[in-house]
Amino acid sequence: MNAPRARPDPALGLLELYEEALPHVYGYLLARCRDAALAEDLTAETFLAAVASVRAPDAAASVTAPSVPWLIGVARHKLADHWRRVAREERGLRRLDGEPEPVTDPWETTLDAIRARAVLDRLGAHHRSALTLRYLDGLAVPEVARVLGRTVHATEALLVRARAAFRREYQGGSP
Amino acid sequence: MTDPFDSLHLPDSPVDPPGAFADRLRRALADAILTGAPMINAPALSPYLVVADARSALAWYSEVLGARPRGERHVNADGTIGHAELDFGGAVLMLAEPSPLYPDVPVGPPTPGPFSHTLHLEVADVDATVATARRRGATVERAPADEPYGRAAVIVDPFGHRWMLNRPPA
Repeated sequence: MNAPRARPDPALGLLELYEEALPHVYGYLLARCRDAALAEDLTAETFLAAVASVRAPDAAASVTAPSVPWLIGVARHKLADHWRRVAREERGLRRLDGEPEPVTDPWETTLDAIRARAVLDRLGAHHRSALTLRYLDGLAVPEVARVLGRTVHATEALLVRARAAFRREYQGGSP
Repeated sequence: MTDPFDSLHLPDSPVDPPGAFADRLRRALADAILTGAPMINAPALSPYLVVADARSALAWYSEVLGARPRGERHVNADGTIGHAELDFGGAVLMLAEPSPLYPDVPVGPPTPGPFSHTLHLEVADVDATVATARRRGATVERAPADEPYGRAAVIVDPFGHRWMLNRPPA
């Protein structure tokens, strides 16, 4: 073994991790975007972005030893980026914000998971991303804010609107 | 009271993607990692060597000294290699061949005689590296020996460059 000892390229760890991590990353994305072609694109983006991240001169130690949970975090950002792009397109089509928000939480019902997933698919991208990160991923509000690049206050407001939109769609909404 | 939205929580659910996609992405990933990427910057100081045969040197430094190619090679119009880079554990070594296209650039491969510089490289196993280097045409100037600064040896590679190989004390 004659590899230089100085500082191995941390990206090599990604190649070693690939087989193990691929189903986790792809499964994470597929379960949230529910579109196989999109999940493949985002999976590829995730791994290639990871190469750049681990090689960044200021990468933290936690980043230079890549793990499956860390890659899921990268995938989460790629998913949020995707939804941001979609939300921008949607804004071009119709106005989504500024709806009246008379709904009071909490909401006493039990959600049917399958129907809930279908409802999520029909929501606008910014509502869908907020609800996915908060509830499917179980992130705390400040973490959701970080991934979405919003303030905590704006994220709380977005979550209120997203829950209201979800509830309207779930309770009566068009099929 | 529990929040009904909490029931949406998804556990980790690995799914194997289609095999063709998995293979394609693995190749893309290996490409991005092994051929190096323009996104990595070179350290502030990098040796820039001139060698008579850069293709052989790139292979030799990779196979014997454990370097990895990085970035794109620049090939001159006459087929000589104008620029190529190797990664040695995060350090960068740059290589070029002299080309008749650039007669005004006063560089050339090393000539026999006293050396003006030595490349110092830390390796995991000095003895094994020296044995491989000798087999692959290097001259061993100083056989591996234990020194206060570690296990060390000096070789001159087939392209005329002098290397001090060292494994510092644990």
